[in-house]
Amino acid sequence: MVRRWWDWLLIGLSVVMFCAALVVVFLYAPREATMGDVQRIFYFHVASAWVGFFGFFVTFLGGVLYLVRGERRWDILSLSSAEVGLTFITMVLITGSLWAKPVWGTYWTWEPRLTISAVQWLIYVAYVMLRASTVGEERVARFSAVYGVLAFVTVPLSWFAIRWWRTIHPQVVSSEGMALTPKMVQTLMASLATFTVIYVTLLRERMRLEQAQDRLAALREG
Amino acid sequence: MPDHLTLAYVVFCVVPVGLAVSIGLRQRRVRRALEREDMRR
Repeated sequence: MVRRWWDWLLIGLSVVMFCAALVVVFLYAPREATMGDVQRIFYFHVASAWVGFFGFFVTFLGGVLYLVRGERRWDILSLSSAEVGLTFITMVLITGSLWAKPVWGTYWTWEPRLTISAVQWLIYVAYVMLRASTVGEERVARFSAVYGVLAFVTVPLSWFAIRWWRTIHPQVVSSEGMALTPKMVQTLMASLATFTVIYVTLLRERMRLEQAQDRLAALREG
Repeated sequence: MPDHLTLAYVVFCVVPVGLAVSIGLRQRRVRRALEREDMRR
């Protein structure tokens, strides 16, 4: 489990970019006229959602590749990405509620986007719990790959929920572009880049853990 | 009681760090088990 130089680079880059993104969100981004300072939740909230969705996409991709090739590395990629993605989606749900209280007057409402997000969270919690209870079993890996592929349907559903149905969730990105000032767009882009780097770092570390567990299991067996 | 913006950014800081610590602790446990297994052989 030796870390290479690029592992340290990724860890360092994650810390530096996260601190820089905080400075950009609080000192560079302008104060939104209607919502005030609480709108600043938006930058990291959207970045977390992007990373969560991307993480679930990687789980989907890993699942497909595992089903086609049957190689353990794709299973490791799949389950590691699901755990990291779930962490970010958990943040999305918590911080979305914290934003909603002052803006909507309630922490939670059962409208389409929020309902789909809650269902999606439960689906991936079940996936992670299933994987946590077993290590390296081929039958569970195959089942999980199918589960990960099917569970991914919640991602496009969540994305399109605010476009297909009547919802009170804001739609910042639409076919007409982004309803943001240039400085807000730059802040959002910085947050997206930061969270993507953090995702890659956490994914790599989680995969290294799984590989080490495999080595340990192999040693104990043989 | 801190305002909602502060609470949200506490969540943004604590949750990824929490996952990183959890992975790190699990890595340490496995690393020690690997060392014990090596010594046993």
